[in-house]
Formats: sequence, structure tokens, C-alpha cells
Amino acid sequence: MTTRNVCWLALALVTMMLGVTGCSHAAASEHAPASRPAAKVEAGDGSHPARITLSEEAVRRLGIETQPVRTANGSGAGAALVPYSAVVYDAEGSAWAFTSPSQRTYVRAPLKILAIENDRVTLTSGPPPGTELVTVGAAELVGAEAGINGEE
Amino acid sequence: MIAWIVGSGLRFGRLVVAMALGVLAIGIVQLHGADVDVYPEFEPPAVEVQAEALGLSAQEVEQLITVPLEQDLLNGIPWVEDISSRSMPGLSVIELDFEPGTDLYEARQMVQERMTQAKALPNVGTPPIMIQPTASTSRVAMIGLTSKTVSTMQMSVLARWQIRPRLMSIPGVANVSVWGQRDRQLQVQVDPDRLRTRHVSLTELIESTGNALWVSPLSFVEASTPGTGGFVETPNQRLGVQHVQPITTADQLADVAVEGAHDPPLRIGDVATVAEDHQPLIGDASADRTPGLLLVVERFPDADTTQVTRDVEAALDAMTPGLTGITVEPRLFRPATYLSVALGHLGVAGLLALVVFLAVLGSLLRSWRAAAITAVSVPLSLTAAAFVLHLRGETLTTMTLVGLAAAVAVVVDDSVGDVSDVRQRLRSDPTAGEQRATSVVGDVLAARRGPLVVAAVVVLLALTPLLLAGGVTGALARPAIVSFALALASSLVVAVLVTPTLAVLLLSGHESAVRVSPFDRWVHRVFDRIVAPSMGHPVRGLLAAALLAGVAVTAVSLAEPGGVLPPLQDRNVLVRLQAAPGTSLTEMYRVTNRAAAELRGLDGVVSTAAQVGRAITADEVVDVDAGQIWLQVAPDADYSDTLDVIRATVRGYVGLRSSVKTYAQDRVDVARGDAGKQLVVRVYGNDLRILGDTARNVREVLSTISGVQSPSVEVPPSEPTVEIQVDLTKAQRFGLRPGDVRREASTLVSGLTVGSLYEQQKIFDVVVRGGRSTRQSISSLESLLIDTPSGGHVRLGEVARVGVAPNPAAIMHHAVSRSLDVTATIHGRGAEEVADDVTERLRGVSMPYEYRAEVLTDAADRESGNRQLALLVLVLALVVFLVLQAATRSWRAAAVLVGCVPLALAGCVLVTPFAGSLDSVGVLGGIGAVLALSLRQSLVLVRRAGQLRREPIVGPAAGVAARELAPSVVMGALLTGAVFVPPVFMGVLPGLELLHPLALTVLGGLVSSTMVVLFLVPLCLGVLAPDSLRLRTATARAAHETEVPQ
Repeated sequence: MTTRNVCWLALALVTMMLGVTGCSHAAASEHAPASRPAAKVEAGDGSHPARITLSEEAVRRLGIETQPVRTANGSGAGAALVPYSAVVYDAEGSAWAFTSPSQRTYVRAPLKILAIENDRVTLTSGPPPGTELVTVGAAELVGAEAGINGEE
Repeated sequence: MIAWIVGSGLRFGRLVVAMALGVLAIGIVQLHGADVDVYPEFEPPAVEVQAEALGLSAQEVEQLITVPLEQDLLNGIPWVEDISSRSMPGLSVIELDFEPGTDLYEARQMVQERMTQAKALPNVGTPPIMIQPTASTSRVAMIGLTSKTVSTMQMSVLARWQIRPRLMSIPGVANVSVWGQRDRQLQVQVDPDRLRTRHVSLTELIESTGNALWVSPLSFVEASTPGTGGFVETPNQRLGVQHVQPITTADQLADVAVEGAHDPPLRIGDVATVAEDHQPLIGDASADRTPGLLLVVERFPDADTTQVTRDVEAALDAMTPGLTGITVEPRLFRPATYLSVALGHLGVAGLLALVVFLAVLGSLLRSWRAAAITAVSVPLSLTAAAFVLHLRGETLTTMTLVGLAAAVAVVVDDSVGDVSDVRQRLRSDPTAGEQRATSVVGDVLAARRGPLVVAAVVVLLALTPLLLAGGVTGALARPAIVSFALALASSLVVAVLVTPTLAVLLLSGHESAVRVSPFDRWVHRVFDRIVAPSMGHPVRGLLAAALLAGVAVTAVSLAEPGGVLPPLQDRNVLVRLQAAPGTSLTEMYRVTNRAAAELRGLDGVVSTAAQVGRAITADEVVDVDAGQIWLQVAPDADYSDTLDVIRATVRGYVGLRSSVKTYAQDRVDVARGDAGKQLVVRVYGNDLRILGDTARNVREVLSTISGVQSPSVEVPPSEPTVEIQVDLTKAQRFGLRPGDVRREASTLVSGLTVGSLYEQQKIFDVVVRGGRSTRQSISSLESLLIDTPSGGHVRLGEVARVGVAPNPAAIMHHAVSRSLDVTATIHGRGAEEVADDVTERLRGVSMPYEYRAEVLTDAADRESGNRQLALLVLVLALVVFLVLQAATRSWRAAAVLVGCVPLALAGCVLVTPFAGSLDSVGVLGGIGAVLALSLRQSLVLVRRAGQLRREPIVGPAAGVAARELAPSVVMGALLTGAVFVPPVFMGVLPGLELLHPLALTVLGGLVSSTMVVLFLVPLCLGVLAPDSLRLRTATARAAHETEVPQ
């Protein structure tokens, strides 16, 4: 084997080796899965609060559950009743609940609480009876509205 | 002097060789048991003081605990660089950072002296304690305790009184914290309405409960002085008197009479519910999706991870028979696993490297005698260096490995060059006896040492800036440089003591060992045919070199700075979750467990452990709105793929901020802190609102200064807090004082420990607390019944204002004062200039009384530090130039060396895209190795050329010297390449994360280094000669002469 051939062979081996290592690195970085946005928050202006729209996966992950607003007498007149787990307080102490006007969309609504007994909250004013309120996962919706998400 | 050492070594020849082989054997055996860890200690010396006050708000913690501790006790301790604190609901944490180099135990002594005066603090919680010193990556094991039959409270009793003490007694264990601990308490649960109906006041109930027990911490209760039993002395005997506590269960406590005259006589059980319950929780845990306890074991800074892990698991094994019904899972987090896997891979890589090394050595030299010398001296140098580190008690880490691996190129070149030189000299007299051989070998090796010592000095000079770097980078770089220097030194010692003797013993009198090998002949042929003719056309050669330099420089400028440390393939992964401030423990626990369950279901995840909030004396200083999930990835799962899926899953949890890292990476990031911010102005003051306004003022000022971009105020998060403020007029009408209202409300909401029960060497608290309904909502707080002195009751809402207001979730102090940071980035101007401008402008800004603003000098310091570094590098370059000039005795030769040797790094730079980023540790180590190698070989070349001309070198002598050295240079390159090829082929496995880029960089650099040393340096040296045209003929003649004796 002449010197020249040996040189070319050595060069070829080195390049191949580098190529193999390089390819494995490139292949690895292509594996990152594409991510759909889990939540879309439309910021509110002065009169309208923000609307939060979650993807189906996000709702399933958080285990969000809703229950309708009831009345004391069962139907029509009577004070409105909501579960205690629907109530969130903001920094100034006003009470809110997340209503769900449509599937996977959530909007904050103000509540005026009369009394809290065990797990039942009696309202003086709030969403009309029959409105779906978020009873499990309200704390995470507070975070979503405040912009707490993503990776540090 | 070196000649004398060589001579002495030769005199005790066989003894030296025997000792060397002994050191090699002992070293290999001892290194098996050496302390091994991933990273060296990188945290600066610091002491942490914690004080728990369950139920106290962040503001009250600050007022009652943090401020007295900081201002009166801890301020002014010697050697303290920084004092900062964090007051959060229920916990005060004060951290004292000491000057680098302070002895940690002396620092703790200083702090302890001050802490003995801490009994003057208000009696609101446990006294402050100094947290045990722990390693930077302190968590060693996490143990899960779950059970279907035993309640968590009973498990907590076992954990607190049996398991934790046993684990704490293991040498090396600094702390064991129990997450999810529910302390068994006997609780007298009060319903204020029931009390009112029976006309019993809360104070009477407290006194009754306290006096039922032997011991009470409450000074107004008689049980605070329990008294002693005494003894009865008969004429013959002394009989001790002991009182046996009749109360052990809740029912028995309920039978105790209530204080005061009541008609009919009342029992405690008539006015309240007595039950076994636990304290208010500050955190919770679950092990592999089941609620239970999580024990976290932390180690001391000098403890060996693997040894402590083994001891902990052995202790748990011994205890398991006594833990019936409880499932103990000791391997939820086990850094020792990564260490053993990494060491396994390193062992395989090392063995393969040795095998390939010996194979290549044998095939190149074709003589076992010559090969044996190198085969012994190279492993001996490296093992001796590692052994010395082990004897010094240092932990062997990835950084030590980088240093030793970088030294391989130099050690191999040392040995190969020595052997080659010796063989060449002995070739002229192959039948010489041992006597003659001894003197020849002595001369040769002594003469060689000169340039090599110079090269070592120059390389170590070049590394000094890294030694002086501060912070985490310095702490990580120092062990690497120390092991590199140690390997160089041991190579020198071996070359001076062992190699000469081996050479004399094996080579003298054996003609077959010293004759020219086919490899030598092949190298000379290639040199004559390719390199020598090109030296006759210097312009072409210089152009090619310039082209290569240009490509390399472009590659450097295009390179993106990546992480200094490549991510480790540690299969223990930490996921952090942070929810909105003020989120409840139940909700955080629910969501964290849901996330843990989903992650557990992913392919490749074998176990999960979840923690929420904190535990007593634990390493997490967070509130209940933070959770951590500790995952273990299967050994056979694709690491980066699994991590990507984990990240994507966690990101899908809306309303939570997350981070996914390995534990070591997490700790390094925490230690680094916010060193990345460029400009920080700290505003100090007292009132949070005014502080905010002042900070916003400062921000406006900053935005007008050129060079400052996007200034923003870092406002700490706030959460809704119920504020109760007594109305003095209304309270006075009922005869109540604000303190009375506070104490009664606190007892009902938070609970009051009125005494202790002693049972079977365990101590349990007895607590008087309101029932669940009293603290369920804001309106139930308003309805709390407060006893009035006249015997009546009044609702809390009637004497106090109960409202909700935003309060900071945590209050930070720096330098003993509340502070807010205004941060900005700097663009377009130098940091020091901007900092000066800002300081100037701030002087003109009027601030409220007792407020001030300060530019944190970190960023400006760093830039002036960078400038100092650049200056240092320049000075070093000059010193290096002068040293080279002294060694070569020629200004032009020194200039050629300084100019050409950096070009040897071109190969490293071109390979970098495959190896990682240019500033990663592995790549830098490879660059250092190649630099050291090419410098050494160039110096030897210059020295040899000088010897050929017997005067300052120019002209064709350089070419002849290059031809002479070509075989040893190429053989050295091939052998070093042989050592580094296995790590490259094995890929980035656990353990090889730093070695792989280093090996790749060295391989690339070897190619360019060989070309530079054998072609470019002689060419440049020849260019300086007027008669460079005679280069080819002179070289050809020399070639002809050496070929003849065949």
C-alpha cells in the first residue's frame, strides 16, 4: 500500500468517525415533540375580565370539574348557593368564581358572599342559577390568568 | 541537578523499578475505595439559621424573629461577606455568606457564640437553630414509607422516634428530614358556642388541660413547675416516690375536671371534643403515587455518597422486620446509582483505551522491550497522580478526570519522546554494555528535561487566570487544574527516576530493541516525499497556514456560548412546580400528585416521589404553593427523548411554572443565583409601599441613562391575607385589651400547646385548639367568641375589623434591611461606565427619610474583573514570550513559537460543533492538552535544531530536526489518539459526558498539532534564514546519511 493511499484511508476513517458522531447529535435534537399551546388567555380590559381557553389535554391534566349554581329552594327564588371550593379571593379580599360560559372556556365572575357554612356558600349576588362554576382546579386558573406558566 | 537525580536513580536501578511497580499496583487497588462524586464542593462557605413559628404570617415572622436575630445577634460576625434573610409564613431563614477561604467550622463557631443569646427572643415558636453543614449536592437518599393498614400519624411516630434517630447516627449523615410528618397530638377541640353554653371560659379550659398533665410550657399554668416525687426514708431503706401519669388516651383526658366551681361538676369532655389529631401541616408528601412519608437523607460536605448510601440501606434493612405493615421504598432517589453506572462506563472506556494503546504501541515499535517502557511509564504516571490526590483525602470528581485526561497527551509524549531519543543514541553503539548504556541514557534524558520543564511552566502560567476565577467556575476549575499539574509533575518524576532504569535494563545490549523500526522508516519516507519539498516553497505553505487560521477564527466567532457544564445523564430528575402565591396545601397536593401520576405513566419513568411545601429543618425553603416531583428514568430508556417528553408533559399543566433538571444541575443553578443580571440597583427601606414607589422612581431615572435597557422593578409576589385589627374603643367597652383578643383568637385558630405527655420514651404534645369550623372561612373568624372579663362573650367581628389585604408572600432582607431590586440590561456601553453614571444620577435623586439606593457592584465588578483578566492574560503572554526567549536564546524563535503554536488549536476549534460549545469544560480541557503538547514538541524541535547548528537556530537545521523528531511526534499522536478513540466511539454515556467532548477535541487537535510542529514551525524558522533555498538539498543529504547503516 503506497503512502498516498494510506493517507487517504486515514483521512477517510477520521471523517467517517466525525460524521457518525455528528449525525447522532443531529438526530437526537430532532426528537423534541411539537407542542400545542395548552392555554390561551385573552387579556381583559376594564369592564370585561380575561377569558381563559384551555386545550382538552390541559383540562384533563388539571382535572377541572364544574357544578351549576343552585338555589336554596331548588328552583327559581331563594338565595344562590355555590360550593366552597369554587371561591377564590383576590389580593384585596374580593371573592370570585370561575364561570364556564362554554366548554373549556373560563371567565372570572364576582361574588358577594352572605355566609359560609361547612361546604356551602350562600350568595347575595353572583352568577345566575344554572351557571357552571369551576369547583376543582380554580387555583390553577388564577395562576393562568396571572401569567404563571412555562419553564424557568 | 536533574542529571544528578537521573544518575542516583540509575544507581539504585532495580530497587526503583520494583518500587514503581509497587506504587502502580497499590494505586490501582486503593483507587477502588476512593471517594467519588460528581462535582467538587462549589458552594462558598455559608451558614444558615432557621427559626420555625407555625402559624405566624410573613410580616410577623419578620418583626418578631428575623429583625431581632439579624440586627442584634447576627450582624457584625467576623468574616461575613453578605447577610440576607427570607421571612415567610411560619419560617425565618437567615443566610450568612462568608469570605471565600473561610474555614466553615470556624465560621460556625462564630455564629454559635452569638446564637447562645437567642433566648431573649419572643416565645412564638421553636428557638432558632443553625442548620447542619451539608454538601453542595447534599441529598443522598430519599426513602418512602407507605402503608395500607398503618395510619400516617402512626408512621410519623415511628419515623420520628425510631427511624430518624437510627439514620442520624450513621457517619456522614448530616440531616434527615421527614416530609408529610403528622405529629401525634392530643387535641382538645373547642367549639366556642359549647363553651358559652356551659359558662366556661377559654382560659379555664386551658388551665384545666395544662394542669391535668405533668409538664406545661405555659408560665401562667401551675404545671409549669411539676415538682419532684421525693423519697420516703425509713431507718433501713430509702424508697423513691414516683407519680405515674394516668392519662394516656383521649378518653382519659376527657374525664378530667374543669377548673373553677361548676354546678354540676364538669369534665373536659363535656365542653370540648378530645381527639387524637395532628399539627397544622407545612408540607406533605407521597411516595410512588401513594400518600405517605418521605424521609430525605442529607450528607456532610466530606462524606462519600456511595458509602453513606450503602450504610443507610443496610440500616433500613435491619429495621424492616420491626416495621410490619409498612412498605419501605429506599430507592426513590439514589445519586449513588449514577455514580456506579458512570464509574462502570469509565472503567470500560479506560480498559478499552489501555488495550488499544498497547496494541498500537506494539504494532508501531515491533519490539516488546521498547514497548514495555512506555507501557509501564504512562499508566504509572497517571495512577501515581490519582493516588496522590486520594492520599490527600480529595474526592475524585468529573473535574479531576478532566484534568487527568488532558494530561494524557503530555504524559504519552514524555514517554514516547524519551524512548525514541534513547533508542536513537543507543543505535550508534548497539552492543554497549550496561555501564556505557547508563551514561548515554543519563545524558539523553537529563538533556531532554530542559525544554520540557519550560513547556510545563508556560502551560501552568497560561492556566493561572482560571485558578483566580471566583464563584462556581473557580470552584469547579481548581480541581481540574490541580490534577493536571499533578499529572505533569508525576510524569516528570517518572521520566527522571523510572524511565532511565527501565531503558538501561531493557534496551542495553539488545540490538533488536534499538534498531530503526519499519514505522520510523515509513514516517521518514512520507516526510521526505511530502513535507520536505513543500518547505522549499515557503510562500505556499504560509498561505495554507493563513487560510487555516482564517477558517479557525471564523469558526470561533460563529460559535455560540453554550453551557459550561454539559448536562449529565443522571437518571434522577427533579421537576419543580410553582403555583400562584397563596394556593392551598390541599390543592397543591392534588395537582402535584396528578402530575406525578401522569409522569409515572410515561414510558421510561420507573418511580416518582412528590413533595409539597416544606418539612422541619429541610433543604427546601418554600411555602405550600411549591411542589417537587423526583423521578427516576429507566436505565435502558433513551435519556434525552424521555426528558423531552417529561418537559412537554409538565408544560401542559396550566397555571404552574415548572423546571426540569437533574439534581446536580439544580444545585449549581441555585449556587450561581442571579449572576446573570447586568445592572442591579438595590433600594433599601422600611415601608413596602414607599419602597415600591421609590423603586419605580429609580426605574424612571434609569430609563433616561443611555446604555440602560428595559429597567424593571422585581416586585415580590403578594397573597391575600386576613388582617384582624382590634378597634380600641369598641374593645374598651367590653373591658377587652388587644392582647387578650389576639391570644384567644390565636388559641382557637392556631392552637396552643399546653403540655406534654410522656409515653414509652416518646413525648407528645397536648394542644387546645378550635374545632375545624372555627377556622374554616373569613366569616367563621368573625364569629369567634372572645371571653370578656365580666364572664360574657363577644364576637370577634364586634371588637375588631376583619378584612383581607395583599401581603408579601415572602419578605427579603439584604444587609439587614428590606430591599427591592431594580434590574436592567446594559447595551452599547461598558458596564463600569454605566454604573458610574447611575451612581452619579442617584445622588441627585431625593429619597424619603431612611431610604437609600445602591448600585450592586457585581456586574461592574465582573466587567472590571474581566478587564483585569484581559490585562493579566496580556501580561502572561509577555512573560511567556520572555520565558521562551530565555529557553531558546533567540528572539525570532520565540516569536515563531508564540505565533505558530496557537494555530495547532485550529483542529480543536473545527471539531467543536460536534463536541459541544466552545466554553464547555470538556472542550477547554482538550484545548489545554493540545496546547501543552504542541508547545512541548515545538520547544524540543527548536532545541534540537539549535544543537544541530550549535548556535541560535535558523535555516535548514530546523528541517533536519523536524525530520528527526517526526517519528516520535507521529507515534505520540497515534498513541494519544488510540487512548481517546474508545471514549469517542462509546458516545455520550453516563460518566463520559465530559470525557467525550474532551476526547473529540484532542483528536481534532492532534491532527493540526502534528502538522504545525512538523511543517509550519520548521518552515517559519527556515523563512528567517537567508539561505532557505538550500533546505531541500540539506534535508535530502541528511536523509541519505541516516538511511545508509541499514
